[in-house]
This record gives sequence, structure tokens and C-alpha cells, in this order.
Amino acid sequence: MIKIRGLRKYYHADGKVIKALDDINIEIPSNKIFTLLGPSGCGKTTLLRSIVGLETPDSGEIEIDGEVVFSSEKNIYVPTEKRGLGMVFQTYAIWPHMTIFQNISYPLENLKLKKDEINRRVKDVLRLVQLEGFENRPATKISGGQQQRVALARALVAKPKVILFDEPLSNLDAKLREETRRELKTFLTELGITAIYVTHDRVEALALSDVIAVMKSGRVIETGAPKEIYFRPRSSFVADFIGKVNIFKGKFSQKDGEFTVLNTLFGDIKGVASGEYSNDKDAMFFIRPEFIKLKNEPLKDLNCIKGRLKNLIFIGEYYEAEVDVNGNIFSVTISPDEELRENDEVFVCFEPKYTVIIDD
Amino acid sequence: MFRRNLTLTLIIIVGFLTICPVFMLLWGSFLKDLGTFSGFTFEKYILAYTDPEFLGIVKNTVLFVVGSAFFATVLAIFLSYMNTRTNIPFKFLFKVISIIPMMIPHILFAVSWVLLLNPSNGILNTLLMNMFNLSDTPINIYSLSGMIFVEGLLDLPIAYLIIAPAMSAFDISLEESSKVCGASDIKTFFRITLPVLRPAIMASFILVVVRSLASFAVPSVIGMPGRIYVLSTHIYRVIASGFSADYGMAAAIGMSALVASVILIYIYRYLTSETSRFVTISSRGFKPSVVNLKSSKYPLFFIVAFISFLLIIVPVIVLIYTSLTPYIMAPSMRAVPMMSLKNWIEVLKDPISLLSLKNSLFLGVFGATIGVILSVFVSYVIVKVKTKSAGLLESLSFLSFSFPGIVIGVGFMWFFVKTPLYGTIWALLIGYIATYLPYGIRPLSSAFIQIHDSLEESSKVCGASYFTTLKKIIIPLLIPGIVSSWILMSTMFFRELTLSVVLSRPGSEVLAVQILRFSEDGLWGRLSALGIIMIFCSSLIVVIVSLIGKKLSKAHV
Repeated sequence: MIKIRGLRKYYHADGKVIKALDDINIEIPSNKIFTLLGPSGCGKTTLLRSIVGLETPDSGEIEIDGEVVFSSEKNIYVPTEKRGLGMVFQTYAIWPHMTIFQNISYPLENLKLKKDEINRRVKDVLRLVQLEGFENRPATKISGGQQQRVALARALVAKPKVILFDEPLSNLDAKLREETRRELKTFLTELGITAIYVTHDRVEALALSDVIAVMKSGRVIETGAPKEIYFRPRSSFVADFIGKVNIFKGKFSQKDGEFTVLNTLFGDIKGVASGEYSNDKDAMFFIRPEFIKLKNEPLKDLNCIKGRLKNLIFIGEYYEAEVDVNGNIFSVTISPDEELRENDEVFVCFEPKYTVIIDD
Repeated sequence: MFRRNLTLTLIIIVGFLTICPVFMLLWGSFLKDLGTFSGFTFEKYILAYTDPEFLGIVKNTVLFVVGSAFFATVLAIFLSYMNTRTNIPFKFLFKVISIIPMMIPHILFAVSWVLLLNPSNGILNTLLMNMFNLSDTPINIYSLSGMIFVEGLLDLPIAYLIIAPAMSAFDISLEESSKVCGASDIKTFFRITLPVLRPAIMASFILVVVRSLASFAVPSVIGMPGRIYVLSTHIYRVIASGFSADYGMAAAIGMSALVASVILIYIYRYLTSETSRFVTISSRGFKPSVVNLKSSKYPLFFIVAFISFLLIIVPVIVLIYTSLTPYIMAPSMRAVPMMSLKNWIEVLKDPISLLSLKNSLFLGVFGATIGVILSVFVSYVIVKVKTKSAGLLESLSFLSFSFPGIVIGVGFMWFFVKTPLYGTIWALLIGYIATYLPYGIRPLSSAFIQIHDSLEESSKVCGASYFTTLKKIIIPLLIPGIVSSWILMSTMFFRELTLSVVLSRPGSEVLAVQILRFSEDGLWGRLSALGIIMIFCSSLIVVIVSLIGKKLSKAHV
């Protein structure tokens, strides 16, 4: 378990203050894959580098498995090399003057292990990442995917408490990235190791993580399991960042059993709201395109709005389209077997349980 | 804290090395006599710039620098195009052209052309005369065009090293689309290739102008016998004319060369920053489209081979041959019985030649080592410490790049004259390091750039202490940079002429100066023998150090 309390780091540039970390308080569970997700410049890499000790925060505390490795109050700073962590860098940082073996044995040498112990453990980890027989290859003579696995092996070989990943897939091409992502997920799950993963790619975050923390301007906006974050985000920023979404404004009107009713320019919209709200308070609802069904007539128990179909685009797996409701545009996806044409009059229908109401 | 102190210390050292001579030059130009640091006078400027000869010297200088820059750049464009864009055979020759000429000291290169083409008994001249039954020697190297020809060849490698990378980095699709639009290879070359490469071509042109403005070997060995003076030899004449050496006037003349050079380097740096924006380097366009030369393949190859022959083989052969003959003579059956080792024996018995060899070896080995140590620290700060003062250090350390050697030598002369260093080999050492610091820094800063921060950081994450990281990661990765920086500085120091000609005094002679003396006295045989020794020692040092470097970078892992 990693506990982070009140972590702050400000940069000063051109007379402006940039808050890279602005009061971060999170707990990272053991033996889970924990992802820091956010747009570039949100502070996720700074947070990762603070945990590993390459960056010194201005204030706050970091505790790894019960040991305080950084505390501004108690004046503690455990240097990076004493923290016993493993890290895969974005550039992989494979040392070009060493062979694969030398690269991987390096952390073990620093632990002053015996030669045959080192040999055995390097062999084991090479088997694990499927690079057997590559021991004596110069580090510069391997492909990008192999470099990524060498970096992984090097991070794992000393059996660290935590392994950290700084956008490790961003240097791979699209196809290899998808493949490696899948492998990595299986691999880390089987190993049951604590992993902290930094990425700006939402698909990667959803696919890989047990827990996602979404960051923005130096703050953690929301934490939760991938499905929670995707289906029940608690802010419009997270809703929008994690996937395509339709967001519209309204006012709270009443509770209706398990659902809440929102008064909008399309009439009453039923949805799920977390917490209690007073009437007439400004709020918004959102619905993801894949939960919208297009019907010829309104259906009972569903939110249904009449509109006109526009911009029908076939992209293979489905159609992307828009429905124009008096100038308000809903993005929708349509299954390729539907027989619809542009300018058809349709009803945009979506279930209340997928309609999320938030008040920010 | 450590980094800040290091930066400050380096700024003081490098600032002292580069600013001092300029300041002393400026001050000296307003003083009456060398060593009297009082009084203020415009007399030297008036004297220097109202000299009726001065206008002619400026004209010669302009023709000389523009001519050689034009010649070198056109040749470099031709060679770069042949290498990167055509199917010309034996491409390794281009590597030879770009590297080997740097091993031959400029003064020896210039001398070899004097031996070949001097108007009284040049070897090639005599051969041509006999062959075509001419009454007089056909070519006079002691002319402005002779100077331009030799200087252009000398500066060709620099021009090539600027233009060739730009040409090979350039996005081929720009040319391909021109062909799709119906243009021929030749039209594409003139309408697309050359205009796109304009910044690189301009940069090469300007750099050669700066180099030939600072050049002393060619103007002294080829220009002076023909009474063709340019700025550098004019300054030399003012300070080397026996009893009435006038360092104040030399400084006054030097100021204009310095100002011109600094302005040109400023333009050069502007252009090279432009180059990177202009030429699109794309990794995907890596399959070079090759122009098929067809029937002109071998004639063109012959031209390239001839150029490399002129650059490398001719000077060495001429020197070896002349070192064995009693005077300059065309090779013939008559010459064979007259050949002997007499010149070699005389040189090896000559105490001044031996002293100059010893001094040059000391400067080339010890001096280069000091220079590299300074360069390591400077490039570390320039690359890894990204503060404002690191930026200042960078500008300071590249400043001397734009200083013409002989001018800065005059500045150092004013500086050293009242110190115990005056006339010693240490004065030369300090002057060399100040002048050639950019050559030491270049390869080292690219080595530091390659050591990406994450390579150090990942070592830390792997549990390595600061010293383990230094020993196992940073130093091994730096070794290639250290080796090339050492080799560059050492070869520069070993052959140094322009600064030394001002600063060396009896007891602190160096090889190049001794060779200049021989050439002034017409002792061509001894000159050639000493020259061959010089080339041999320089190449030997380079080979030994490269081998040590290879061993070290393997042993360190």
C-alpha cells in the first residue's frame, strides 16, 4: 500500500506558478494495477517521479509499505536508489553500451548478489518476458518491442515492492501497442505485483487498470474502477475525457423512485444521480452514444426525444451519426444492419439507468 | 549548489580565456608601444588605415576569401550530390575526402603546391614545359588564383561536412513530386534541391569565408613570395619585420578582421538555426531515390577520384619525394642517383627542429589533455545545467570560434608581454586552449546529449549510488566523445601555425613555425623531411588514442 498525503509541487516559470502537484491525497492498493490518467501537463508524471524519488515535492508525505520515503515535515528523503522500486521509462532507457544481460543484471549487482544467483535470476526473468537467448545481444541491436521487454525485465528482476510505468507503450506502433497492452495486463495480473501506470491514453487505462485515478491540473479529480469511471463519472471533465459523450444542461425537479428527474429543454429526462439534490438546482445529464437507440416512435420508460438524422458516416463496425433536435446535436452510433437514411425523422431513446446526472 | 559553483568557475575560466585577448587587443590598438600601458592614441589606427597599400590588401582579401569560399562550396555541392543522390561507384572515397585532408597540416598542403607549381622550378611546371616544349613555366602558383585554388581545396572538407548531411537528410518526396510534375533530374536539382538547401549552402559559404579570412598558411607560403598580401599576412608583416615590430598597429588592423569575422559567424549561426527549420528530416523517407548516372557514371567518378588524389596523395608524395632530393627537381632518370637521406639527417641533427618537435608533442599530448578536461566540464554544464548562466557559458565558449588566429595571437601578445609566461610554451598552451575550445566541446556536448537523463535515472531506480552511476553508465557512454574531442584538439594543437607565429619565441618554437621558417629560407628538402615526420607523428597519436578509447569503452562495462 502506498499512501500519499498532501503532496504539493509548484514550478515557477516566467513569473507564473505552475501547480504540477496540488494537494494530492491518494492510497494506492497493494497487488493491483493503479493508473494515473490525464491530459499532458496534468502532473501525472511528476507524481510518478515523486514516488520513485527522481523529483522532490515541495511538501507532503509519501509512504510505501509502511515506510515513509518522503516527508517534508519530518525532513525525510530516501534517495531513489534506496527505495527498492522498479521502473519502466517512456524511452525505456536501455543503456546502449551494455548487452541485454548486463542491462538486466545491473539492479542485482547493486544489491551485491552472488554471481550464480544473478545468472539464475536474469535467466528466469528473461524466460518470463520471452527473451531467452538474447543475453549477449548488444542493447542497440533489438527492436522497439524487445527493448520494452528488456526494460520490463530490468524493472522486475530485483523483485521490487512496486513497479512503475511511465507511458511505456507510447513509443510502439498501434498494432504492437494493442498486443503489448494485452500481454502486460495478463502478465501483471498473474504476477500480482503492485503497479503504478501513467498514461494519457484512456483506452489503455480502461483496458489495463484495476483502479484509475484521473488527474487534471495537478489534482486527482476522481478515483475508481474502470467501469465506475466510465459509467458513473462524477464530473463532466472525467465523463468527457474517458470517452465520447453527449452532455446537456437542466434543473433538478424531483425524485422518481430510484431515478432523479431533470428538467431540460427536451422535457423531463430521467437518470441516475448520486447524492441528494434540492429542486431547481442547476445540473446536467449525460449519455454515451453507444447507449442511444434510434426508434420510429417513443418507447415507454425510456427517455425519448424527437429529432432528424444527419451526417451518417459508415466507418466499418458501425455508423457514426448525429441527431439534430432543434439545433441541439446528439452523437449516436448505429448498428450497420439498421436501414436508416439521412433526414429521417427518428426518436433518440436511452435508458434512465445509463443516463447520469451530475451537478458541476 | 555544486552545479552553480561549477558554472560560475567555468564562466570565469572561459570568460578569461576568450574575453581577455579581445580586450587586450582593443586596448593595445590604442597604445603606443608593446608593454607600455599608459597613454591613449589614435595614431595606430590612422597609420594602419591611411596606408596607401591598405586598400589593395582589402581588395586582395575580399577576392581571396570569396573566391575560395565559392570554389569550395561548389565542389562540396557536387561531391555531396554525387554521394547522396547518385549511383556513383566506390562511395567510400567520399568519406576519405571528408576526413583524411584534416590529417595533413595546411602549411604542408600549401607547400606541396609550391613545390609542384612554383614559376621557377615547380615539379609539375617543369614536366609540362618539357612535355609541350614550352619556353616558360605555364602555371604560376604565386598568384591570387593559385591562393584561391589551394585554400578552396583545403576548406573543401568543411564545406562538404555541412552540405552532405543536409543533402542526405532532406525529404526525398520534395524531389519526387517535382519529377511527377514533369521536371527532369537536372531541372529538379536547380529548381528544388538547391533552393531547399540554400541555408546549408549559405552556411557553408560563410564558414569558408571566415576560415579563409583567418587562414595564414596559404597566404604566407603562396601569397607572400608573390607579394600578394591579405589581412593576415599584412598583420604578420607588421609584427615580424625585425626591429620595428609594431604590435599597436597590428592590433588596429586586427580589429577590422575581428569585427568582420564576428559578424560573419553571427550570420552563420543564424543560418544554421534556420537550416534545421528548413530541411525536413523524416525517418520514413529513408529509401533514397538514386539518380542513375548511366554513361556519365565513370567520367564523373574519375573527377571525384581526381579530387581525392589532389587532396590526399599528391601532397604526401610530393613531400616524400622532395625530402629525398637536394633541390626541387622534376622526377626523371637524372634525379635518381642524386636522391639521398641527407635532408633527413640534417633535420634530425638540427637542434631547433628537434626542439620544435618536442614542443609540439608536449602541446599535442599534454595540452590537448588539459583542453579536454576543461571541455568535459564545460559541455556538461552546457548540456545538463539548463540555467541562464549555462547559456552564457555556451556563448562564451563558442566565441573564440569567430576569432582569426593571428588577430587573437596579437591580443594574447599584449596580454602576456608583462607576465612571466611571455615567450614560454605555457603562453602557447593557454592561447591554444582558448582558441580551440569549441573543437573540444562539440563532440563532448553531443555525447552528453546522447546520455539522456532517463539513462541516469533508471540507474538510480535500479539501486545504484551516484558513483556507481558515474562509473558504469556516464563515463563509458562519454568515452567516444572524449576520444574524438581529444583527437580533434590534439591534431589542432600539433599543427598550430597562426597563433604560434605570433607567440612563439626562441625556445618555444613549434613544428609549423619551423616549417614556415624553412619555407621562407627555401630549404625545401629539410622542410619536407620535417613535414613527413609531422604527419607521421600526428597520425600515430590518432591511431594510438583511438585504440585506447576502444579498449577503455569495452573494459568499463
